[in-house]
Amino acid sequence: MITCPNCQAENRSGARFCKSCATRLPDSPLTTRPLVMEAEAKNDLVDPQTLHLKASTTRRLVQDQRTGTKPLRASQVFARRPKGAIFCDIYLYQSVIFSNESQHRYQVSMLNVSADMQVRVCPNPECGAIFPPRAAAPETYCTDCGKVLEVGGKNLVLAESKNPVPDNLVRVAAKGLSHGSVRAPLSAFVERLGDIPRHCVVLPQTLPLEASLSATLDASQALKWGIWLARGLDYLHDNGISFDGKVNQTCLALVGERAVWANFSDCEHHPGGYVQAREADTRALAQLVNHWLTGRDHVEPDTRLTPALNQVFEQVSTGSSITDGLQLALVLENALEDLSASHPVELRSGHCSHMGMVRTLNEDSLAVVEITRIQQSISRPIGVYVVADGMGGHAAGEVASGLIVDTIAGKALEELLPPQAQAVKPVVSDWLRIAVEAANTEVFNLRKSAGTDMGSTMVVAALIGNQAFFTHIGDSRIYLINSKGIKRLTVDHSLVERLIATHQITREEARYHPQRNVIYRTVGDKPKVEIEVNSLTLAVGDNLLLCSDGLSGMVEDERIYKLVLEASNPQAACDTLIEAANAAGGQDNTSVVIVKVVES
Amino acid sequence: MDRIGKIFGRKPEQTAPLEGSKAEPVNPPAAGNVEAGHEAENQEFFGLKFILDTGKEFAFASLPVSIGRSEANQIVLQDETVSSSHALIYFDELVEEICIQDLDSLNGIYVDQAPTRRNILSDGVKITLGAVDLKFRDTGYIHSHQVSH
Repeated sequence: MITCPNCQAENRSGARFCKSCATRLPDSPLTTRPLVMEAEAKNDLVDPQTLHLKASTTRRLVQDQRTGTKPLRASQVFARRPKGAIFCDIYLYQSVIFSNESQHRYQVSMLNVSADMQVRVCPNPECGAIFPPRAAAPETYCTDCGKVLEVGGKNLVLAESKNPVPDNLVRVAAKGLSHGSVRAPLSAFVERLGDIPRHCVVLPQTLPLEASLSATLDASQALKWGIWLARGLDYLHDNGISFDGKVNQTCLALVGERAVWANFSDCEHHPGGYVQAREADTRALAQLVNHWLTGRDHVEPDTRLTPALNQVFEQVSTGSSITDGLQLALVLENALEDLSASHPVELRSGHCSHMGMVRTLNEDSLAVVEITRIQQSISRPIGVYVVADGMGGHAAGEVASGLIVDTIAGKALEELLPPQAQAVKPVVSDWLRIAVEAANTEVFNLRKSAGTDMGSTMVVAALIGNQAFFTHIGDSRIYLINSKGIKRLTVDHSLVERLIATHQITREEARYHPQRNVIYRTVGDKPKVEIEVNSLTLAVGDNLLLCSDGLSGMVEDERIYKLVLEASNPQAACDTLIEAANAAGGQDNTSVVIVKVVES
Repeated sequence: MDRIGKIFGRKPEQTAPLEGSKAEPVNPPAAGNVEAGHEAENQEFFGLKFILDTGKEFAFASLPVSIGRSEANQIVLQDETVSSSHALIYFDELVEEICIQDLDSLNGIYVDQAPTRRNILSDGVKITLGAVDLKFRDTGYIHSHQVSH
């Protein structure tokens, strides 16, 4: 168990974010791991039988209906269920995936059972962890990435078998594992059809890995898979599940573009709910990553790999220093960073902020912090770009937006460039989250003490080389612009976007909607603000455009795209965009930052 | 059962006399002429019907309906492969459909020959309890669907 330092909620071992307040939990390095094993995590899942009773809308009649009934030849055939079948009173038949004489697999969806019985999923496409219903203290936030969970369970797989479900699978289901890199069975139950038992397991939907896997993977993808799986493996170990070194591709499946742990038929359960000896699984996983990179089944130095990677695999195979999943994830992360640094890029940026043609006060603020680093002739630039659009009139809006850009720029200068001696590099997505939280707290406190209604939107992007991390609050936006087109990377926290999302109005109607300026999330409004950090790998030639609604409200996306691509450099692009916004009426302050990735 | 009341409440006079009544055949059609009989009836009858292979019909205007060998059921099937209290037809609030539920019977239930435990019933399916087949007709519910589309 990890106790949350913020709200004292008890989180499962291996959780990275608190389930009830999304605070980043401390990692548990080996030294602080329990030497005395924890008692097996208490089973906090909702028992399928309870679900059955709660979900049932019929009342059972008296038991023992069978006296004097003559048994039929009791069909020996293990036939599959008909259309419209309801399993365990909560899963509805959708289609048959696969069927033979001893097993059927159906696609099922969960019925509209009450909220406390719903399966919840993490909406983050990079995570997608699944949370089975819990009897007590269910998670509000994803414990692996910190996002707010959503109701799910529309796409589940139900496997029905003639033969009992193996005990180790039942025990995995009973643990209720939830991790971005783990798709464990959600529940296991027996249902009697007449007198014949049917053994059922409910699983998240995954694709088989083998079919979609070519001989060798793209190096960065293989490393990413390795990082995610290594973290997932550590989570499994923290929860008492190991593969005793029998890690291979059959343990895995594909979800979206990532590999996950999905087949637990070979897994072992360790007493005490905690795996002490992690070397064997970790080594086997490293060998699998090595196999994806080189096509070899054993580890040997390979000229196609970077020297650092060769060293990693050698270290793991000799079993010297890398003994668990977290350590493996860490060295693979460093290898991935080196890999992206071997395609060095430089950042070119431009910026402009204008009052517009109507207002008499510019409440927008912006900040650009760029650090040029060239080490051993390799360019590793860092850039942090912020645009904030203040609200609340004189001595309020411009103060709020200014405070935001100052807070974030200040934190970037202090924290983002780690001293060389410091081994642990900051995780940029975490840094960004903390920086935005800090800005929100500053504005909230100032608003309270000043007694005004100041507030602000903001959009911020942090680039480490060509890796971009970004987040926004309100209706300030980020666009990705390249020769292929223009793409909005953020969804405004505005009323009209909600209406569009629920198909009540079209995007065209939204431009002229009377309430198009209404936003439901701002900086400084509440002591804690919801933050979604997303990331993106940029290619040479990509432009990131950050802007306030003074631009996006006045100039159509198509025209923005044209002007940016036609401009000779990012600064010229910013200037023409401001001109275009003013020419179209300039009804609001307009601020624009463009950063372009160029070859170094 | 509110929803069912609303759905079935649209033609009260016709269905009222049948309410809660036990297993009286309504207009038993001549054997071999079952299909033709339905076409004609669909225009006036509004409710649920269970038709045996023999042509015997059980008609209902309200739910739930219990089926079994014992006299306490609304549909009594005198067959030794049917459990005394075998299955229940009811309106499921979660699915918002008419469903059948196996009441832990010995020989189980089948819908269109496939074994099941709880199942949505749609018009025209064949329900099998033990060795007895029942054809299920649902004119009322279908009618309400047509209105809503």
